[in-house]
Amino acid sequence: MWQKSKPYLLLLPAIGTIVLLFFGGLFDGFLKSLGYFPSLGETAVKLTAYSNLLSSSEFWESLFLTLRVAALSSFFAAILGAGIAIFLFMLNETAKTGASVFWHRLFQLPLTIPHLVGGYIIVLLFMQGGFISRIFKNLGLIDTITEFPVVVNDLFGWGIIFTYAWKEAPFIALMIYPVLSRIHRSWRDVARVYGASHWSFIREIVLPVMLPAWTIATFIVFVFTFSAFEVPFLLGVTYPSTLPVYSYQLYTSGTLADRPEALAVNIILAALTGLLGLVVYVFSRRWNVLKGWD
Amino acid sequence: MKKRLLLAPSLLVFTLVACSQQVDDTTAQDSETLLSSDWQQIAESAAGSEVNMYMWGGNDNINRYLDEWVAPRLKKEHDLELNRVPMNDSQDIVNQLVDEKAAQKTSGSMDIIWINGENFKIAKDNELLWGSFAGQLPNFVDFIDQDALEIANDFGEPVDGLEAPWGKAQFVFVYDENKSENPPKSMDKLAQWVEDNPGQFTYPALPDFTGSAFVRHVLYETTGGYEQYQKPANEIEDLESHLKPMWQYLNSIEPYLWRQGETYPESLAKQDQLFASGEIGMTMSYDPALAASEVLKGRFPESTRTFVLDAGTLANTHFLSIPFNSSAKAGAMVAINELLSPEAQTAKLSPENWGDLSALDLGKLSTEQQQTMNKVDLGDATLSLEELEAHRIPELSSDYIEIIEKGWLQNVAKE
Amino acid sequence: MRKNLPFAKGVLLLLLFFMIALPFVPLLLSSFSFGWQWPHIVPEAFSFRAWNYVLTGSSGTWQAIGVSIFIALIVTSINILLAIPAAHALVRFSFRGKWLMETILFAPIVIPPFVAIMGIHLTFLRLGLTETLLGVVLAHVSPTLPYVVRAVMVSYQTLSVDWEDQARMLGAGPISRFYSVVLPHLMPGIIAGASLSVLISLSQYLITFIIGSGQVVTLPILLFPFISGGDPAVASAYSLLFAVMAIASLVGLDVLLKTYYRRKKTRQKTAKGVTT
Repeated sequence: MWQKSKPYLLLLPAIGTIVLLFFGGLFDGFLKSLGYFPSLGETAVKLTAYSNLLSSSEFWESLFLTLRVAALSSFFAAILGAGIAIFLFMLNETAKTGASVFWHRLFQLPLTIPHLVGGYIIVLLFMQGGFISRIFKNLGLIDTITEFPVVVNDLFGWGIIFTYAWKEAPFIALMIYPVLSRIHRSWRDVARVYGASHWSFIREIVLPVMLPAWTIATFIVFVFTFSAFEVPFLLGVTYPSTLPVYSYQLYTSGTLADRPEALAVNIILAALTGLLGLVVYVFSRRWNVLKGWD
Repeated sequence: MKKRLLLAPSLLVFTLVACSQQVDDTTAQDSETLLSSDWQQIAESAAGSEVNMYMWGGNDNINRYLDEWVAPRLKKEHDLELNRVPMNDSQDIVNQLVDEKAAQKTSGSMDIIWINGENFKIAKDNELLWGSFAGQLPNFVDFIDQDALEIANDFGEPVDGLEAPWGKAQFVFVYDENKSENPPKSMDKLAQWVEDNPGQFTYPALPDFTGSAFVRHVLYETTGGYEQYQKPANEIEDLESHLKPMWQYLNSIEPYLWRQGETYPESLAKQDQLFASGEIGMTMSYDPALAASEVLKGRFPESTRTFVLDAGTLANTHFLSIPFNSSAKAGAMVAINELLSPEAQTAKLSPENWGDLSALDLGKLSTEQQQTMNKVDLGDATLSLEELEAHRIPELSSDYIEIIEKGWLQNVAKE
Repeated sequence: MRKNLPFAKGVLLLLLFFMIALPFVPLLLSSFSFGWQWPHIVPEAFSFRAWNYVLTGSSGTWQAIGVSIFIALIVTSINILLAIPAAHALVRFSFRGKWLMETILFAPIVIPPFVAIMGIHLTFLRLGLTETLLGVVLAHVSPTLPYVVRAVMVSYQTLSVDWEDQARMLGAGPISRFYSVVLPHLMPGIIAGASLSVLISLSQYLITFIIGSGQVVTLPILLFPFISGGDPAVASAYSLLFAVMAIASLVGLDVLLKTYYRRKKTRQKTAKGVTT
């Protein structure tokens, strides 16, 4: 009996905490999204918040923007991250271990920078009067400040995309690198014997080996950017805003009447990210990728 | 060993609980008595209390003024502990009060809040504010022109003593003296100026706060003055045709604007950038001393000056209020009274502290006080206090603003 | 292949410049700037105004850093206490509903924590947990705990049951077995998890703001009004300070791990000296 219940008892504190604080919060939010506020005497359960949302163009525009920003962010992060990982791998093949550890550490730096700071760095770099625009002017690429494109607080969301591409690329590299390092040196020698060029080695061996981990890492970045608040809040525009910012705007609109809708946005967001997370989980199980992460 | 293992978490929980215990040293003050008792009593009951002031925290000058000028004085003279709480947006303050009201939290942490305009209206409509306290403050009674439109109303909403004025903002145009010697001081002259200087003028796209204010000036001057707009919008018959001259004016200057009016700067910050880089010759601000401080920071050229329209420019007031569930209402009243003192207002006026216009009526100050206030060096770019005060017109009722912003998109931006 | 090394190094250097060096240049310049008109690449004049404000006097920066680190450490301690038994169960046992337990435990990694926090906000308010350190600590647990569990699990996977059995045969009780065999082996995982937990806790803005409601002032709370449209010089100085705080706490944990290993090594050496 003890042996049987032991794992459950061991898990109880952690599971209990998550159930209480996290799922309790989700459930609490779900009830309120249905207009159930017992403290205000509202106990009728209504779906109006959801039907209002689904029929409002603001919600759909926000969802579309969020998808676009998340897709482009993860795409650019994936390219950049794979590049870093492959070049680090090539360096590692020949360089001394100490040096390659050092390189590794350096490239992890953007990971440790808080997101708020990362966002602000992008503002300073890319706003119309920002650092890049100054450099362009001095190189004679532009004449006036307005020739520099608006990419921060822009309607498209470029500023947000830049921030995440920059910040998450090292994460993708970190996920791929251990898989790459399993490529045995002898494979390389064999490839060389058969006269494979450098790029065909990458194409034929490196890319296929890293593909599962790469896909999963990109997916994780997608889910993360999909639900992030701070950076879109700083670098986006008031309208249209990404879903988390939209939910925040509704939540802090100064009237309780908007609360059910804010929480309904949250529940939809939770459902979407939960679903995406499940997909990642299933695929990573199948491909056994997360082992490589360890 | 086992004992120690158990001790650690319980110690942890204990510390956390101890930290979470709110300091609840408020003697149950009867709000009603406080609103009617005399000042001496209020000041006495305030001594020793801690006052939390919730306000926007993104300007180091303002923060310093409160932390280093106001707080030590309150401590020394009234035994009050002023604790500034930085917020990102005053809307967050109102929102938090809405929650506390819903949760029936009767002893809140907010004692003084800094609000105006729409946030005041929401707070008032939801009964988030304590009561009519302003008339109790000696400095309010002595130094403030209570009947002035911009004091009695906050964006058209009657203040009813629920908040006390802390400072004023007034719309000014900003220009470069080297580029235009005689600034256009009426809308007719401005139209001429714009035509003579193609590409040199623009205004931030609505709903930008300042861009919207510029359009309201056009409204006042092209449709016959501000008086008619002091009543709610739905009381004006045929409002649409009433607004027509304004749209006509804006469309007539459009071809001569920056980029032929095909696009407008997205925000005032963007427009200021254009002015700073010399690309346009004029910008605008709701803060009369801002241009001077931008000159000080080296962003605007030395020859930057400001002007107001002959018919006056919009002025509004920002206020301090006390929430319904403040735990230190007496302390809050004493602190607000101190913030309205001629000394505090003079210090606030100085650009090195903040550069915010005084809420006091110059005429009600003693000659000596007037002199010290006038002596404050506002910088060459700022107009004199008399000139600003002589050209002040009130805001209109807030329901117009939305109508104008929507109308601008349809009548000006889209065409 | 060796001839490709300069090429790889060149590309890495270029990437390094654009990704690591360049982004911090404007932050640093702006924090010392006194007026910085376009298109000057370097500010025309420098001043210590922003740093002076941030580091000295009344701005409350040091207190906010203290509060941030205090919260991060408490949250991390709670996480470690919860994660060790959970990781033990997930690695050592196979039981019914394991996938469900894992799903529940790792859900906060994918579902954004602010969703749960907004939902529970009014309940916390009624319970008097808003505006308190305890409330903020509780709010920080769910976004951080899954990472600690994950990291500790990784260490558990490499811990051989044999070692524990050997210790048992030598007569060690469960507690001394845990202290002398299990815990030392888990240390790297615990420290890796703790690093993540500290980092995530330090950089929370939204949930700290919702639950702390202005009364719990961490560094992100101080910094936010400045970077969302406040004074740029002060915002830059705060941003640098914030980044340094995050990196310093990670380096601190790293150093902790290294000293731990060194001590362990010397201990093993002396132990070996005794047996042979």
